[in-house]
Amino acid sequence: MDQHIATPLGVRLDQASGLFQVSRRVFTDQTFLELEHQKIFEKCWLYFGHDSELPEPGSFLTRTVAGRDFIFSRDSAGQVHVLYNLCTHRGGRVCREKSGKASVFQCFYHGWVFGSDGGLRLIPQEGAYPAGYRNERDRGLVSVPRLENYRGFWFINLDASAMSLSDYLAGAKEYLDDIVDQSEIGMTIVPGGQNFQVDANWKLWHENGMDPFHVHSVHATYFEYSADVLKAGKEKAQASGVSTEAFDTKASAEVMMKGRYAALMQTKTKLSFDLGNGHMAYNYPSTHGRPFAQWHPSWDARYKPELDQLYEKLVARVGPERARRIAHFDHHILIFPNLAIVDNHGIMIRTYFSKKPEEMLVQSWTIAPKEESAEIRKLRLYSYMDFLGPAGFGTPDDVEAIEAAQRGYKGAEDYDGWNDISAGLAPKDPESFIRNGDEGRMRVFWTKWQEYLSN
Amino acid sequence: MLGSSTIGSSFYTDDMTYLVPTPGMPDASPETSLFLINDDRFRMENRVKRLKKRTAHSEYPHSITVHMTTNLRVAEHTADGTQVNGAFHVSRFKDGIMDIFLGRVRYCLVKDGEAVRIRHKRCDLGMDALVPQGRLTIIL
Repeated sequence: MDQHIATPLGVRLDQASGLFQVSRRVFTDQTFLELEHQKIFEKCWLYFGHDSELPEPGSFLTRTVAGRDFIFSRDSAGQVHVLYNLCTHRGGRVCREKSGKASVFQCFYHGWVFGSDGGLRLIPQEGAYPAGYRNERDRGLVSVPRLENYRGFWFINLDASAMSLSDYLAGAKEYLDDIVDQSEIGMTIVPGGQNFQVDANWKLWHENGMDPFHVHSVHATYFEYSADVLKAGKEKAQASGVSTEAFDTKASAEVMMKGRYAALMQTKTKLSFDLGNGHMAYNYPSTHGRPFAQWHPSWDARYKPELDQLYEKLVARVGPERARRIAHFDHHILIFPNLAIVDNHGIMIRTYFSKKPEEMLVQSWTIAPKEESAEIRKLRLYSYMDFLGPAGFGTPDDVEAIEAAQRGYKGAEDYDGWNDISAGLAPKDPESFIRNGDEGRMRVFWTKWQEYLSN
Repeated sequence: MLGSSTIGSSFYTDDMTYLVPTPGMPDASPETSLFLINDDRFRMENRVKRLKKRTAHSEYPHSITVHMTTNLRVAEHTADGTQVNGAFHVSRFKDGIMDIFLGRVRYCLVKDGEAVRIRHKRCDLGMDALVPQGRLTIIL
């Protein structure tokens, strides 16, 4: 008999039969979406933006997070604020620009003026109000209940009584460190934030980021391209007398298998995919070029000395073991509920939120070391699109897969359909995990999701 | 970044570039800003090669597209070639959904014997997010 994890029933587990299932209604039913908004998005820490997006006092940008319009601003004293972009007078949209620099924001509806710290500076008809009216604390723009940052990543929480961000991020922090420590002086968001709509529920995108089994079928053309790139690169390197030996050794089947085995064993033994609070992460030895810092034969030989030097400096700074992990492995980090950081051909930061069950708005950015040379930055931005982005050779096929699934789910309501996420729950082959991976990390998400909805 | 030319169209020169900036960034450079597409000949050829496969899932079954280019004007002749500016309107129909991509196009054209070839093509989308399109998997 099924052991129901909780009601409303979105997830069910039958350990004895090795069965873990997710109801397809959780992707189509408005009731589930409303519960998620209330019990997850109004309770969890949500990624808002990066410190580097506000480079100086007066810098601001507008952003919609969890369906709320906010102003992200750095005041004249350098302090960062997230303010509801809503005039306290009659609810006009106070800031209508995407980004810029300003000392004040004036609401265009009736002209009230607010400072970059949110304080009310001016009411055009001030004589109509009692003395001191303007200076009352609650006349200023309303701040988001909680705003905290971890090493430059700013998160908000709509629940004033939430645990600290640091406690919330739990075991994910050391994985974020492996991103941040790619710079000696700090990371910066590169211009070109990409927003796009995907016609699927937000959870499908998050789930896809943890799904080990889609990779070879969904991304077959990427792997074929990757093989062509390597072949052409090696021919070019050979023709110009550049040795690819170091790369060949590093990316040999034997070394890759050892690296993969070690990464999976670490996952298995230390459960590093379950980082607490629904977060998960995994590292994977990389066979392609990494702008920080692994030269690839398809890249011009002139980049090699600089990438090698970056690596040597990293070894000196963090030691050989961690340097190898940071520079020669790809990193996937999924922070509950809706933040993904993928570090492979470049670093992609992505959030997703559904206003309707069957669609989501995706916001994505790329981030790079501040001190990176112009040449490596150019290489990074070229490399990114080998896989990532709405026109890359990988991401759009993920979108196709989840949109196709979403289209079918409506029909599944007719027969109470369930998705199967059982792989690895009770494997008949104990070595299966090492050979294939399993769906355990997806269960980390779903178990936490059900827990939030049941509270 | 690789210069081979095993497949692909003779419409383009060997040193071609095909750029689509992130929507909303008309003056951006691919060297300092994240783009949607930043192809040299090697990656453009592989884009075409990929699109022809059944396993390029985002474009299978193949979408129906219509390309219109209009308002073309020769802007100037430079050492690179002839700069031609215009507007494009591309429709993509797949799975019952019509997506529209429109914007401004800038070509740099060169003469190669009797033929005219594209050295650079840059399409700036007239939108600031891929809403509702979600992806750009066809060639504009």
